[in-house]
Amino acid sequence: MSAPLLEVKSIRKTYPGVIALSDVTFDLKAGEVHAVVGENGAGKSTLLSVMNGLVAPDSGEIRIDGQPVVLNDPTVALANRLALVHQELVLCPNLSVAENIFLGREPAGRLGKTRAMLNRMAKDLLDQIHVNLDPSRAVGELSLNEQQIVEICRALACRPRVLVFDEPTASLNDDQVVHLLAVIRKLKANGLGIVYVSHRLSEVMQISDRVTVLRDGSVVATRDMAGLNEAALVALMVGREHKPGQSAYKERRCGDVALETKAIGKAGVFDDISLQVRTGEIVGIAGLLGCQREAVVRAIFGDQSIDRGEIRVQGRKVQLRSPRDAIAFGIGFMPADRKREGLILPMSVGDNIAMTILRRLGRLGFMKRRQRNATANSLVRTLAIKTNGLSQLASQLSGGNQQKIVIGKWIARGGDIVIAEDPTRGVDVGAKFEIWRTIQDLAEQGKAILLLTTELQEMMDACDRILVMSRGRVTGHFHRKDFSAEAIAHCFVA
Amino acid sequence: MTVLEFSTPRVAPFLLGLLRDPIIWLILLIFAVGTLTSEYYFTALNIENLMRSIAVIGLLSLGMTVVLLTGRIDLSVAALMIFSVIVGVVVMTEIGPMLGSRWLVRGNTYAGPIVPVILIALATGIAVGALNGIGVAYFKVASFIMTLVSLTALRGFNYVLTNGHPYYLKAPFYSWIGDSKMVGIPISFVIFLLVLLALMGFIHGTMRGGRFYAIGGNEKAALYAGIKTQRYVVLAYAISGLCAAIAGIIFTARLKSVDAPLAAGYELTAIAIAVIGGSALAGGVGSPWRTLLGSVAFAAGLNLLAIWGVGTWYQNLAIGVVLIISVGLSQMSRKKTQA
Repeated sequence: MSAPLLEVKSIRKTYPGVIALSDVTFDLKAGEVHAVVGENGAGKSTLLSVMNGLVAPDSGEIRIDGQPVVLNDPTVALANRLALVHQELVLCPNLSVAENIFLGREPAGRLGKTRAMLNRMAKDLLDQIHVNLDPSRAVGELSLNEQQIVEICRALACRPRVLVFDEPTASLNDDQVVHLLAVIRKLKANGLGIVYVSHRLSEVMQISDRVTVLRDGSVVATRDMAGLNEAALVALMVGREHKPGQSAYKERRCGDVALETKAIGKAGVFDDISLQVRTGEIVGIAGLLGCQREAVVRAIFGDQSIDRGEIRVQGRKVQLRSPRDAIAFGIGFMPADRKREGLILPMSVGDNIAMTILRRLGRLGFMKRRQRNATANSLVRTLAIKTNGLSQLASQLSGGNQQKIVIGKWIARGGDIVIAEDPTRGVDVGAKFEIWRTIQDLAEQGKAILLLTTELQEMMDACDRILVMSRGRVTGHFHRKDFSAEAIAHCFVA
Repeated sequence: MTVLEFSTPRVAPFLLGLLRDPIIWLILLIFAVGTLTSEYYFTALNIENLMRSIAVIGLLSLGMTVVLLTGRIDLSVAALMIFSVIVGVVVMTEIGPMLGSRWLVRGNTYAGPIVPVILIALATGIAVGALNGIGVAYFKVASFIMTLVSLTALRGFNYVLTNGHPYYLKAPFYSWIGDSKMVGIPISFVIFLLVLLALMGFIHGTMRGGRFYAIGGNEKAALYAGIKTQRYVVLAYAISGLCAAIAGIIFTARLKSVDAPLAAGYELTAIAIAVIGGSALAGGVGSPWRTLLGSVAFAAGLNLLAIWGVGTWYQNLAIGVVLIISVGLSQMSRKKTQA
């Protein structure tokens, strides 16, 4: 019997006050996809960091091909042909796609890198995963999704034997997920061992041969995927039965039109976008990568200008020159990239929540601290934000709790219109459900909600109506009773 | 006809790119205005002066460009350029008596061998630069603080080591560096061009050189790609230190003396030139070639002010204004490309 490709034995890692991993054992065979699932804070990231040499374990050992190795540096991990696809996008915006893919392992050309060769090699890699992307473009110009593709190619470029995917599909749309899974199957057929970490259980079910469930830093179970269903998996993760795919959708009565755009357009980006969101209504904008729905909602939030058309709030025509104007008209925006756009990570939970209502909390320029704490505390309670106090830093919270702060910020402000962009990205199953319920509650309270998600199913679960965009134009419009994934997907490419 | 069609695609993009570059037009404008307003501007003597001043500030800016590429800053360059020469002289005057010869004559005139002084100065530049880099990269001191401390400490050292009096440097080779010309081009400018070529070869030609762009673009990405980012940061500062030492040698060779307070404020000039040349203070953008253009524009502009009889006070004011305008413009253009 040959030794497994990768073995992680009795790994233990503690941080001051926290046991991140206790006695975690994990193995990976060649030609296998082994998924690691668990709620945020279960220890997945720490385990991945240990495998990748970013974090040194307190005890335990790692074996590759049965040989013990000390991975004290990502370089060493790479030398052992163990590559990681990062969840966050760690790319150089000033370099080209090709340069980013081969950064740190450029082919040794005579006297320097030959750009053409790099571009050709990058093109080959991109073709492998069926993505049409110009390798000479600067990464800074790419959308979030395209950057994720570059990140994946980066890992593939070093011809790894063990490939670790950390939430690779967090910002991909359904189409690209299908492509990615196809690529992973191909890699698996080539004999690679693949560690797959994702919150999207449907993918995990599709792709994995085995699954290891982590909870609170320990392995709860390692099972063959065959014969396991989603409900059972979720039960293992959270330690209780939990109905998946639930969006807490409730029938509501919708009121007057709160937000309306009339044929707004921006040269070269989008054109002739008309939409209406009534109070108490959740309207989704669906579309593939590059459909420019992100630009549309940013225009509604005053962050991008429009050349044509008009935006109406509560029936009144408004000029939005900046987010400040939009906020004054009661529009709130929860961006997808919450770490960079939604929160100020080094600031405390309380300060982040209070950010939208500073004027109300001020007296003669001083903050009314007691009132701030009261507001923030009540939101922490209603949203069930897990924090050990208002003074804890936002950066120390898990993704789900961070997202709740972003929501709380706009609840505190009390505007009538909320734009939510991918509110559950990178959020674990339990928190996901709570976030969807909160969004439904907001609608119930009469707020008009504009929703963007990468997963179409989530959007169909949550929305009253869905608009579909393709290449900067509206190509479809569905009411809840007519929702069908096929019909909507048909409009994606119209 | 065919010949023309064949050759244009190769040369044209470069020339067109050059013409589209506003800094070229700025340089031409300065020269045009200078030639029109002063009969001295476009004379061999003035152009020679111009080249000498470009050589010194250009060298500082080249080093600064490399440090800026990594997203950091080096405020110590001006103090270091003087310090390295002083160290060279002081070490040699200490060694002299051990060998039984007196190299310090008539009070403060150094008359000993000059090549060791130059070598010690270069080594000092590299060493102090590397120290800056180690502080920034390994001890995680903010580069602004680290090099501001170096600036202050080195200025202090300069006074301690010289006792507040200038050293006079008497050596034929030193005078040759400072005064001679090669086919009408001052030696100092030739040295500058050689450093420029070497740096361009390193940064654009080799894989290692490209690392500076990666580190400045996203340090974490570079680290995750297995690049030893800390070493490259130290290397960037060492290059800056070396450039500063070379600048110091050229500068003092022209003056034939070295004095503690010389070259005060040159670090800001170096930053201004790098930024005018398109380097981003946030890192990841810039090139030695563009810094050359920046230094030509800058030196030509200052030279013009001097010819017009504008005093040094106003010249400094002009440096400040130009720096803030160019930083502002580069930020605005960056916002545009991002939107």
